[in-house]
Amino acid sequence: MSNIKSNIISQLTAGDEKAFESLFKKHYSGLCGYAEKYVWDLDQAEEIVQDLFFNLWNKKSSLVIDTSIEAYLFRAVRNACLNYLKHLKVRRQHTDSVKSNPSFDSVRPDDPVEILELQTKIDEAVDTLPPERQKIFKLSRYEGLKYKEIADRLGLSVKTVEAQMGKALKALRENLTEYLVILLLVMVEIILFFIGHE
Amino acid sequence: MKEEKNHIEYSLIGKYLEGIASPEENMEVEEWINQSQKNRAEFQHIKRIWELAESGIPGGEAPVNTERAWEKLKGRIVEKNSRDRIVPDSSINQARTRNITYYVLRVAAVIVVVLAFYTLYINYIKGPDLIEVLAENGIRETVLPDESSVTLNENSAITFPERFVKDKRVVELKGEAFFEVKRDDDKPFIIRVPEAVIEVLGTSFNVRAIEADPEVVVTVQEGKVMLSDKENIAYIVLEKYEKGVLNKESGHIEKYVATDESEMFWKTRTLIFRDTQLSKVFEVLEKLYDVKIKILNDEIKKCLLTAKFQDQEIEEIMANIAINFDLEIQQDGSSIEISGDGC
Repeated sequence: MSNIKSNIISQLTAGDEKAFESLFKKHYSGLCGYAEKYVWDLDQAEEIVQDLFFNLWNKKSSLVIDTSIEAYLFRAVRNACLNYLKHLKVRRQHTDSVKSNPSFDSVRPDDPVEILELQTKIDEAVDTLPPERQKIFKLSRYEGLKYKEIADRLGLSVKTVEAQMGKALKALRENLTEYLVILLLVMVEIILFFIGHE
Repeated sequence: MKEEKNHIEYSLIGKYLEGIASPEENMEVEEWINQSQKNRAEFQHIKRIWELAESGIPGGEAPVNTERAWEKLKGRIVEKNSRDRIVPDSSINQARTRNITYYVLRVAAVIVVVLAFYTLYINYIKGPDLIEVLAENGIRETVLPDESSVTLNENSAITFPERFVKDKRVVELKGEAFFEVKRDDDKPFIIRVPEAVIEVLGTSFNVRAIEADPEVVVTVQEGKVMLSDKENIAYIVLEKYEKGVLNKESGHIEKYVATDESEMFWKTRTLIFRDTQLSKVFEVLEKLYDVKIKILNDEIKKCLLTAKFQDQEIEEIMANIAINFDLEIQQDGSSIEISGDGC
């Protein structure tokens, strides 16, 4: 399974146009659907995904991908959505005549930027885990593999996978506490908002 | 009443979320979650990490025309490739005019690029000249270009540009300093120490980042301060009377309520205690006044002190505490003995 995956990546870095075309055709509509969830605009979603593939092809020879190509593409789309939304926010701020007071915990409850930023934070925190733990965590969450499949693939016992996942979760939680608190507050606010308007 | 259970194995939560826990294990996790608000919040955090880390296998495919999108993308790639190459032109005359325009443009481009780099160099790379202020044998005060003031403790140094040009006010600190930062919402004030980054908008606070210490300590007197590790992965926001401690080795950051302001004593010569246990008070006094305090009755340690001492000798402070809690004091040089009934 991992061989097939890394094949696509090596074909791509070697400049195989056929492989690139089939990769595009296989994932285009799925990625567009994914991007649309964040940007709420199908045309924009398509533009983001096209730009992504355009850039992917242009820098194909210097690609470094340490996950499956699918996990890579979804993360890249997410980052692109975040950039787009941030850009939008900047533009909105420029057109707004009201100057808001920036503060560390000023948050907009209706903003997918918060979610995307948190996901980015999580990704960054995952990258600081020890290599073996990181690999296990990525296989579970990024690649969607079951514990048993991870154990088989890496030649470990399921118990080890369980323990490593526990440690990874613990480290990530410690790393991200502050962010999560803010996010939870936002969620509470949203809930209160809805309750208040019923 | 059931036994309180605050601790749980995270591997168990992992199994629970993965959906492979046994019925007994599921029950254990659920019981733990329902034990307290704190546990529930902790579980919510882990669950969010679990869910948000997923690649987000798409809910559905969007109704798009993949064939057309592919043709469009192919067109873009082809167009870029031909732009990257120099296209030969059939008409020689046209080519010549083009060549001249091309050269003029090239020269213009070179000039623009050189100018751009020069400006960039002056403003960002070379930047304004850096100023370093050193406090070697005593406390030293200095004012920054934005009129913020900095008090350096002994053996400390601060480096800052002669003017702040970018959208941030960045300074570098070695050792310990007390900052009173002038508020500027558009230009956050950032202090870099080797292991941490401290960011504020405008406030006063103390930073202790001494090379030999295992920790970086930030104590806030006024306003709001953000303390993060140097990669900016983890951070905490500190407010008035709070203290952030970053462990240099683990990178772990923790927040405490500053029950006393002894961290800033070197600058303010003022000690403030708010409901502080006497055991802690004496610990602080021992460190600051270089004395040894012996408590003869453990009950004394429990007394809670709220007081402010400004520029006072240790004898005066001890006498004050003694009157307050009805204690007796014997001082012999730098060693002090305390007796009494306590609290």
